[in-house]
Amino acid sequence: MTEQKDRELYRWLRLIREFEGRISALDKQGKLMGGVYSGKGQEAVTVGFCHDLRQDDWIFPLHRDLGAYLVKGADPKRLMAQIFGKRDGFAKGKDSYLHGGDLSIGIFGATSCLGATLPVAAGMAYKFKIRKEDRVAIAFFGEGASSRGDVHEAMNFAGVHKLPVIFVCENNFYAYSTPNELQFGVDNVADRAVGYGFKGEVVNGNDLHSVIKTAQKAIDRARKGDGPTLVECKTYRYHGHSEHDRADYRSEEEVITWESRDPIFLWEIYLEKRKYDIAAIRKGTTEEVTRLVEEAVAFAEASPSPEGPEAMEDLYAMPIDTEAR
Amino acid sequence: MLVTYIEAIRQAMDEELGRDRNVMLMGEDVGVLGGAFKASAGLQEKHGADRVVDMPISESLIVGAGIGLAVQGMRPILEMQFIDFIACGFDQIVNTAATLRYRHGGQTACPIVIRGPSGGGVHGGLYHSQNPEAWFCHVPGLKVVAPATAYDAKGLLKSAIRDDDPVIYFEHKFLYRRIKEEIPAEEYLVPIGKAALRKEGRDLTVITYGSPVHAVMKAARDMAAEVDIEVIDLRTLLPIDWSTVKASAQKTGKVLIVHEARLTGGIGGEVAARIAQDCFEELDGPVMRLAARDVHTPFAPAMEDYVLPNQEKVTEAIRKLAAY
Amino acid sequence: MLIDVVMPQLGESVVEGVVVKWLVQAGDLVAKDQPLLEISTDKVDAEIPSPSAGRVAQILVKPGETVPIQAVLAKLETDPAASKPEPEAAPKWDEETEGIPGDMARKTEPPIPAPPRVEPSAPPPPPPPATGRIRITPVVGRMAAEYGLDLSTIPGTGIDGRVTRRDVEGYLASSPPVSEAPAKKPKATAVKAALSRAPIVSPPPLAEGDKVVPWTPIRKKIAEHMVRSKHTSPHVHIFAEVDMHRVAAVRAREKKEGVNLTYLPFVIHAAAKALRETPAMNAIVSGESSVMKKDIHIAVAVDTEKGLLVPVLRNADRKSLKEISAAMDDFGARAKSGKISPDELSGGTFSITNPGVKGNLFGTPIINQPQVGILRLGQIVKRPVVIDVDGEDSIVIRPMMYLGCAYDHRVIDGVAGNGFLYRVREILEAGDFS
Repeated sequence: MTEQKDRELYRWLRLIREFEGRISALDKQGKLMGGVYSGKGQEAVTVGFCHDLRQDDWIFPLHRDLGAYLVKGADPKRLMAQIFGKRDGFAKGKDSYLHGGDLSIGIFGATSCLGATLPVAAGMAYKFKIRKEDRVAIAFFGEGASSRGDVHEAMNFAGVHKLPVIFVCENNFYAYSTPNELQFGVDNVADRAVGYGFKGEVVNGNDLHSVIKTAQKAIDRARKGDGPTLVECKTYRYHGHSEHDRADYRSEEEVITWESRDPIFLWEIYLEKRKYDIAAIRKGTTEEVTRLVEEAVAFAEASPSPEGPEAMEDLYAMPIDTEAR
Repeated sequence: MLVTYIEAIRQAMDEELGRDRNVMLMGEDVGVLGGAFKASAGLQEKHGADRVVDMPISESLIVGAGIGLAVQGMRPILEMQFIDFIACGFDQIVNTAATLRYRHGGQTACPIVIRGPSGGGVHGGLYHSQNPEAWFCHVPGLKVVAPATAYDAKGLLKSAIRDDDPVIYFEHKFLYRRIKEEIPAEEYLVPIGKAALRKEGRDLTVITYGSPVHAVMKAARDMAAEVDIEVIDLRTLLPIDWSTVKASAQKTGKVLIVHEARLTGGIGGEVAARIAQDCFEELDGPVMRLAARDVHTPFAPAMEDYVLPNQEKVTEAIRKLAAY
Repeated sequence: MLIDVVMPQLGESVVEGVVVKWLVQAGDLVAKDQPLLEISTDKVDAEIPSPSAGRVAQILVKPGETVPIQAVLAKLETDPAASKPEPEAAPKWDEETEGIPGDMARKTEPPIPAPPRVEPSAPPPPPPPATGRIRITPVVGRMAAEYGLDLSTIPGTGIDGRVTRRDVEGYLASSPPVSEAPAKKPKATAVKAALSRAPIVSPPPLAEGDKVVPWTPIRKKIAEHMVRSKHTSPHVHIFAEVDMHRVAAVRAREKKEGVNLTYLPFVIHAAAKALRETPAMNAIVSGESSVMKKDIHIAVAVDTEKGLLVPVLRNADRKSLKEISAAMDDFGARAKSGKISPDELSGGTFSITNPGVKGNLFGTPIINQPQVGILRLGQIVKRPVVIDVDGEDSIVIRPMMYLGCAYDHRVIDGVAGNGFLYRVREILEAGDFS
């Protein structure tokens, strides 16, 4: 990889971490409403899969994949406004956190029905296939979401038609408080892929190199028309399920163990070993991401809140004009 | 040309598939078999297996994939082999399709049609007789239609396919081959959101939709000497054509709502409440409803007949209200 | 439960039978299969056994009568309550309990009864009416109020004799029935009580070609007001004879400049000025007070197809002749098209009525409550009158108008009333309308 690419990847990792950190702080300052779901510690997964996508590829992120929004090209200002529930957000205040996507750059908003976006991704991939477009759809889901029927139905269909969709399972070992051993009976979610007729791969989700490599293979496979892949990234979230979760169901030792595998930390080691000027890079990147996030916050705070009657808008593309509605 | 109700549906799909290459049909056994009721006979052969797709038994996927296709500009028709199975795709319908445009601040539309055979009277038992339209009439972002005639079946399905919003289309299986009508050879559409005045009358209004429309019309003919009935076929259940409903209620002052779906929580309650509220001073009798009893539709014939509205119950209900 | 005892078919071709003799009477207790009566048919004579134990409730066919097969001969009451009552069984003693008597001994809860079978598909049977209970639906109630109908006098074809909308419509369209019952007194204001104290006269018989026109709501309002006004204010009517020649001259002058004025704006202008000088006439009555109104708002009566409308010209004393005239034209036009708003019909402090060209010599107008005075224009007639010309009496021909004024003698005495009218005449005869 080129130095430019290496630096770019570092910048993404740092931007996501800064953005999420700021949101966590804002939440504790009482500036945000609703649930906030930190993905701190999992940055390598979204960066690894999204860094080289085209604008006309599609991603289907989950609530913890704020990073995917940024890397796919969402405007940080609008993303922050979205989280603030303001009119300039993607959902125009209609739904919270990451539930509104920027469809113009192929980001489908998350919903709370975990796994429900996977059939949608499969349907979209079906269209790519029949129209012979070499576009891909990437559907993110947690290992907890993998228990939902929709996930099975989507993968099954994708396997039948060899669809250009990549299923990325972010296994951070806990679905809220539920550990893996209560969630599924296999060791790896990826083991299920064989049941659908395609390849499953397990990868160290904190190692950006591994993620990039695996992601690239899967994306190439999909673009070529060779069908789907299920990639399971083992990773860890430092915070609780939401900012209101103390996560007492995990031991401090476990958390520390994973913190010592921090993806940004690991990437900095890599940059250093490549003999880049790590101090300068770190400093310059800090300045840049801090500025970007501050601008985003300023924009979001200045963005107007929607008025009550706006709740009635955007329901129908073709509203019917009948009396007394 | 003379067509049955199900032929009218087939024609609508065939014509729209031919007219717009973005239209698709996805469902269980719709392709090679032509559909469990033959609603899509010949369509895969004609329009290709890419566009008329045999899906696995995965209603949630069928709807979800349809949404993904719709975001990409396709116009998929998603068949539920029996409308009873729509419950398996309920989450995708109410939480993904109905919210798609809203939670994306208007960035996109969701032009899907979910259709399937509903209704009883065919010894179908619990899972082949349901009329669950009321669940969906409670969900903003959806449109719900229920044609009672072959003419409307074709015209409404075409309108639904061309509509950019998610439309749930309840076709009544009892009517599939039992009604035959002359319909125009030229293309026509029936607008969503407009009720049909099937018969003008002075004394009493019956508001209905779906299969019971025919029993109501028969009662209107048979009872013409004793009461002059006005019949309104709602056709669209969400949004309801309130101006037609209210004008009729104000004209006759007596309203009976008839639907095959169950009484409690059925659409009749919404219509009755609206009439009581907006037409109170014009009412010359209580707003009444005739509907299925609040129980699952049973299999044994005597029980099914006991539960569902029928010609006799329609006549009796009309007579009682007329006499008030 | 009541069951039927029927004429049996004793033989395939038998269609009827004769009751020969009853072996029991109404009220008798019978056992199952006990012979009830003897019958005779073409084929055979027989005794009919009772279909059940019970009590003979009713015997329906007399001896000697011929009835068809399956005809009901008698009714039998099979209810155990109708038969000899049995002593109530003592509650079973639960052996497992420790000597607790009666109900408390039960160890298990009685089974939860199945919920009553509902009949959701049929409307509930209407409750039997209490004596004198009247059903009135919203639409019928509204029509009764609007047309002042006594529903008890209208025949009802609805359930339990309910008067339906059709019945009311039919009643209104056709001749009302000749009623000898006194009209029911509705909840009355003093006026309505007064109305109802009027002797009740049976409506006259109608001849062919007669047309019954029920009063519209507007007509009823007018009627009510007129009666009330006469009842409230002791009207004193005074008249002035006004020489309108100077007014006519101004009219002619304005006409030359293309401005068409009727006589009405002149009178309004003069009245407004006079009212300013006699505030007592620009008052309204409130309880036992007169409220002298600061602003002069003159209500001018306009006749429309629907009846009298009295739109109010606000601040008439601050308007020029032309402005008054324009406002009158506007009222006239809008009254015809029904576009006068309720605001414009209220707030008047004095009224003027102008019957127009065919208004006759003079008239006695009715005060517009709660005001205290009203003016009425009369016809303008050219008449020979005597005036002083250089100290000499001369006869000249002048356009003369009788101006009628009614005032409320509760609050206006002769000095104020006459003074006011005198001033109106003076202003009109002076001819200065600036």
